[in-house]
Amino acid sequence: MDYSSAVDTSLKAQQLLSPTVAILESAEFRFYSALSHAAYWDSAPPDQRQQHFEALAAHHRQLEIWAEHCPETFENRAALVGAEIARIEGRVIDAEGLYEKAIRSAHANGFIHNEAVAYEVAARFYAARGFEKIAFAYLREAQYGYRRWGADGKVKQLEQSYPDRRKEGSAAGPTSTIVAPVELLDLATVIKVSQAVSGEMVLEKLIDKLMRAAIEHAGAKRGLLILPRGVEERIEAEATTSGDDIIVHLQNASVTAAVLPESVVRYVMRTHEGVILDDASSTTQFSADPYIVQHRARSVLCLPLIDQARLTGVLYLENNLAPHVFSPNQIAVLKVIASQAAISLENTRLYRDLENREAKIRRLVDANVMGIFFWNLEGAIVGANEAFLHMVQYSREDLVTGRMRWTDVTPAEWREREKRARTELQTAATVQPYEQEFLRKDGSRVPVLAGAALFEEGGNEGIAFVLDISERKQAEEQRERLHRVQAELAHVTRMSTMGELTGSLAHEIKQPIGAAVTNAQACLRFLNRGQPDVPEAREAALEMVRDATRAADIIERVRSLFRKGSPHQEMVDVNGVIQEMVVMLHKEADSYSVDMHTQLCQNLPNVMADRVQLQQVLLNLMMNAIEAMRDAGGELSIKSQLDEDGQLLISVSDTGVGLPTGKEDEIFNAFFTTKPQGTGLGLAITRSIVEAHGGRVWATANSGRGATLQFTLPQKTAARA
Amino acid sequence: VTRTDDATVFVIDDDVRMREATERLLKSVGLHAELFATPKDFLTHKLTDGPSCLVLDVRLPGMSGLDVQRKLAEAGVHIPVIFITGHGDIPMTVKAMKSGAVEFLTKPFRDQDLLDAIQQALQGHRETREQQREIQELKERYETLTAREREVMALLFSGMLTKQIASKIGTSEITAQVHRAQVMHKMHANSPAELGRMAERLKLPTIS
Repeated sequence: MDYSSAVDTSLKAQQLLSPTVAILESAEFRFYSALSHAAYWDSAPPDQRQQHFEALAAHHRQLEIWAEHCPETFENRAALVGAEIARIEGRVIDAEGLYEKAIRSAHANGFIHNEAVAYEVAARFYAARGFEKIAFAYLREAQYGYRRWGADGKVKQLEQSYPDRRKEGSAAGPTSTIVAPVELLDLATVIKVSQAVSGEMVLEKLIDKLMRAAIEHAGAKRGLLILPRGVEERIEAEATTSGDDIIVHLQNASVTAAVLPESVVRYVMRTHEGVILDDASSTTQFSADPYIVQHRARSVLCLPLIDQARLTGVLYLENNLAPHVFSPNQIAVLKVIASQAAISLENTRLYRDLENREAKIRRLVDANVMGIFFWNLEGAIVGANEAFLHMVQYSREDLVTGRMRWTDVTPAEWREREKRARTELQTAATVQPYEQEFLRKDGSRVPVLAGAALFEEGGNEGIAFVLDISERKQAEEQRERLHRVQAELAHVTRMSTMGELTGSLAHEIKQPIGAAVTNAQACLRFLNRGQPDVPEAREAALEMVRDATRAADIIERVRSLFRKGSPHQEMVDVNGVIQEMVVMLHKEADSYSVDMHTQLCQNLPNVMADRVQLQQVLLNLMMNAIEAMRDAGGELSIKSQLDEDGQLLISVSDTGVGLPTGKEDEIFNAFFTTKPQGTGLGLAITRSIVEAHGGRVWATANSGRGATLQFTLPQKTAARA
Repeated sequence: VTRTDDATVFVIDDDVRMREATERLLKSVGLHAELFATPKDFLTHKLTDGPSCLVLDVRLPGMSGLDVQRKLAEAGVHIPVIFITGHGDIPMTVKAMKSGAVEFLTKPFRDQDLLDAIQQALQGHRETREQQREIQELKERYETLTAREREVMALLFSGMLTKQIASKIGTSEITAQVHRAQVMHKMHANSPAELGRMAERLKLPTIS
């Protein structure tokens, strides 16, 4: 350093000082002039040393006087000049004390530049005495002070003056920090880092590069990258230093007080402002943070990564070994890196999303849950999955060699539909799924459901999905066939039912009508004789009346079967009805050697019922029983009782041929009959009547011979039909 | 009004009222009816001798009219059958007629149609019975002929003269004439032509 020019300059300055000059300017002059003399003393020729010393002492005396009156302003200057005097005089202990006094006073009173100067001069003192490490520490403080003061040129000058110390520093043990050389943190560095970072599309690699760049250039011991993941922030990566090595671990950990000062990180996230703590353990708004307390954090730097006003992450750097590690210059560079990182992070996120999306699409295509092919409007199939190839039974070679065209897999009669689909594609870019057929390689056909979309509107290429609906088609056809058969069957059944019904009705009604006609004819013949036989004619006429009445009864009976609602509800004594029917059928039973018994419950309540319909039921059941015994005779017993539920239970048992095996349930169906002359209506009518009364009718085979038919009638019931 | 003889009309009908009405109708024209509810009842009934016919519904409980017809034929009972059917059943009609049914009436039919059919059937039965009786008599007469007389009878109705017969059987013409007279007498024939008709009815083979 050119201390002699400094001394010259100070002499010139002295000439300019007039009594009117403010005391502060005068003090500045005396301070720097004194330091110039002191510094020059070491290198000055021995004969001039005394002269310099005297000038120095003079300045000191004046500074001492001022310091007595105003120690806040002048004490630091006086102390530093005093320290230099002590140094020159070899009073080492005095010098050390005074250097410290100067530093403390300058710091306490906010004279950053004086503090820096004091550190620098002290550093020189220690360096000269061989205390390299102490000197280095003082020098760093000096640099820091100058930087804060804004004297960047001075900082650079210092850096250049002590190159060996930098080297020594970076190679130092665990107590030192990695120093980021100032000259590397220039635009070139920024560009280099940002290029490295921005060129990286893989998130993991980007994070690695980013962390290394940050640690290297900030001189941090540890760094964390915090990225938003869904609703919360997660620590994505941690970088640590070990000697010259930087180790970056990708992780996915919670943001907790155990690993970082949460209050700092939260503050940055909230305000989107960076936080720099020169010495976190000294009193700051974050000094109570549990992490800072527990880990005795010193230098802390926390920067938001912001892309287009959006927080994409937080970079946290720390050096717990030394305070004031992060310089404003470094921070400026880091901010640039951080913003570049923010953009890159966002890019990689987008890239990753894109990758995920593409993977999903790939998965969709390769899952082969449906046929997918890629096509162009010229008719080529440029890609397809296995499912599609399998469906149309082409091989992958056919596809690769470009032999597959979607016009080839479309049968001629579907071309028209396909043309419409193409028009639809060109206008709407998509085709709603529609059913068509595809031709397989062997010429057979496969029914499909197909839909398509252009990749971009107005484009030439697109995707189509194809579902094989053979099974569905088959099922549909089967269902249709079944429907048809059922319809036919229903028709046939209906027709045969109608035929049977009309046949049965015709037969039933024709009988009495035929009898009536015959009786009428007989009657006429008796009357037309030469000697009319009046008694015979009367007899015939009476028979005619009976026959006609019977025909009318039958018609009424059939009508009542189909009629809804019965107007003849009354309280009916069921035992009474049974007895009437027994009397009525006595002759019929006798003619087939059938004995009739009744076993009637004496306190059977009357029920609300249609008497005629009840008669019909009993008549049907009893006549069936008699019919069943017509060849061999037997016993017919009619029983009435109250069952457990308080319902009337009437049973009609015979010892006849029994129920048709395996068809016990069918006997109540209309037109089911085992008798050549049976209408198949008797039991159907019976059932409809009983059910209309809220009861139930069923048949059981007897343990011995014959069958028992039983029906129930609820008490106080009103017929519903 | 009508001739009353020992003719009987058998009626099988499962409907008692129809049965009785039919009986009444027959009675009005002086016909005697016997009524049966089922074919079984009829088949187990001892039939009276005399002209008769059967009025039968083709659809009867337990057994069809055709079955009844077949069973009667099996039992050697030759009795005209009048079928009545509710539905015009062509195949059944054809079968019934082939089996010798006299008439097939489809309901509803005019009473006169039924009565005409019955009268026709009864008349037919009477004639059949008469023919059968005559053939029976001829058979009995034929039975009384000796072997030589039967031989002579065969040659006679084949148109040979006595002289030819004598030469044929190797006797004298006188002996042949005696045989011829014996045959004519035993068979109650007045001429060889009448004898020829008798042989025809007896289905005797002619000798050329």
